[in-house]
Amino acid sequence: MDIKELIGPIELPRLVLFLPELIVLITAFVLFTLDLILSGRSKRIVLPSLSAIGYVLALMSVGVSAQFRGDTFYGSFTNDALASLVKIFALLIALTVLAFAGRYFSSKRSFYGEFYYMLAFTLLGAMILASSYNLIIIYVSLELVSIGFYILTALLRGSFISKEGAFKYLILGGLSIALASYGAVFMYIYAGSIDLREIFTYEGEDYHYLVLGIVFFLIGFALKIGAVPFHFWLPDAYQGAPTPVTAFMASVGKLAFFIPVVRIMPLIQEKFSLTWTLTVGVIAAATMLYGNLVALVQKDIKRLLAYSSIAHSGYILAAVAVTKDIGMKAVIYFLVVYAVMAAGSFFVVAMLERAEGWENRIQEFSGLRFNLPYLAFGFMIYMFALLGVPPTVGFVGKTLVFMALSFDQLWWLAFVVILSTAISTGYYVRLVVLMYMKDREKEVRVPQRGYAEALSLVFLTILTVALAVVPEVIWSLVAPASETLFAR
Amino acid sequence: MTLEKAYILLSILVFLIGLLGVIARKNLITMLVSTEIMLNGVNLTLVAVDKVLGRVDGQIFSFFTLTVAAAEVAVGLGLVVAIFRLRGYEGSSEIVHLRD
Repeated sequence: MDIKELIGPIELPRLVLFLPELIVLITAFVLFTLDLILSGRSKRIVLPSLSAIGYVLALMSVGVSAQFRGDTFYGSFTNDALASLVKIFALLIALTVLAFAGRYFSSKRSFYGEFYYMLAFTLLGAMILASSYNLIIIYVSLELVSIGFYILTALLRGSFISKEGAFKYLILGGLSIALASYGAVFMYIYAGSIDLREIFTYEGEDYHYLVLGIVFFLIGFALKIGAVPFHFWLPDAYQGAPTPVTAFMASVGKLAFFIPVVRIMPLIQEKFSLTWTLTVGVIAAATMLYGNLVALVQKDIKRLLAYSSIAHSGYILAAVAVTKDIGMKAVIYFLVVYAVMAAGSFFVVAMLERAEGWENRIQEFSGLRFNLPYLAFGFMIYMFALLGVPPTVGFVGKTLVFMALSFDQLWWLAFVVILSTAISTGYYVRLVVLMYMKDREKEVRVPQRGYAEALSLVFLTILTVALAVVPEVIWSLVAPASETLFAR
Repeated sequence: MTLEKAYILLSILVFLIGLLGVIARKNLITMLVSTEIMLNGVNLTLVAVDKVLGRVDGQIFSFFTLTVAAAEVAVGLGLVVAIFRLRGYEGSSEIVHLRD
């Protein structure tokens, strides 16, 4: 067979579409090299500042590449409104992670040069995952994100709990990737193509291959996002990981792992509307109820937030079940704002963990407002946002999910959303009550607070309120993202 | 039964053996090997189907699967070494228990 027949005419890559990824890739390699060359003392300054410069440049180049839409690399890389939106938030959150990581690791009396380049590679994987329809690219970037997370989770030297979480994540992550790629293979058998758009527009006879493929593919992604009954790794991994990494996993990880599901949502619904709604709806209901009920009995704050993360996967999946445009908008909005809320709440825990004798128990939050009034106030806002109290993004997100469900008349699912929100009041409000209405249990003092941390926390807190009060800002990004996906 | 179907059935068998290993076994290295067996089932399907369809996309996919699986198992073995150093062989089995 001639090589020209196989690949068709030679196509030059439109690198401007790929610009943000290219910058993050170069940053990652530069950090990797410098980590080998530089001495210990200069690394502490050079690595964080270089990553910050790289991410800011990439953030600016998202603005440049957003003016050009379309495919490149033979249609395997797509730059559309959804990809730009995800990239903006992934880069912003990665920047805030940098602000917390240095002091967190030095409070553990250690410095990890690996952290900076693994963060960059993971971010790169998340950005590529958010912008592709090609099964091979999805597979490779999924592995890039996952392997990055395994290494970042296991980072803490001499900590058994960190290794335990990482190993559970690795085994179940490997399982999920095997399932997802097996699903991809069956879709390839059905349509003879590895592009998701072509697969779902293809009219073939072997329908059972397509069904089998979709089922395996979605089980793989359900494992990744921690939907019940595939959630076992999530609390252990979130608890074991260094807290800034947990923040990154809960925000950017969840955002990135949901995007391929969001991309096939409008494609799949033309074929299997009723089955899709029923299956995803049942999984969503189980996830919401389980996550919230188990979170009630947790004693460790990181595990509590991990179960709350499972519950939020459920809320987002509830909107995924809706077969209309409004469902897609609710999913994208809730994903983005959940990334902001989750990052903020884990960052507060990361700061508290630096205090002397802090053990992450929930009881230790009592009377926090006397010791750390600003931090307690920020944490209260995140708790209200996760609960869904009006002036915050959580309220708008849950309202959108509810609206979407009522458009499709999925009243039973809407009832489960409300019921599980009511259950979740139990633990979110308990934390606020402990902080604001109880006497202090002990003196909590966070040493060496930096400007970068304060600035990022203030930024995330303002975002938590502003994206709800002035939703036009984000809506102008969410609406085109959803419409371009449905236009296909 | 066509040759294509036979190969797909064989790959399903290989995949299920791997799945069973991940779920049932308690040894860390066996669990790692089982995830690799699952991926080999995937590779077998990809290559067999390409022969029938007369395309090369699947074979390219199988190269990616092989490479990335190697990277994953490298990380996994590194983790196993770290765990054995911290807890020894006996302690390592408590990792597979679930906590709530």
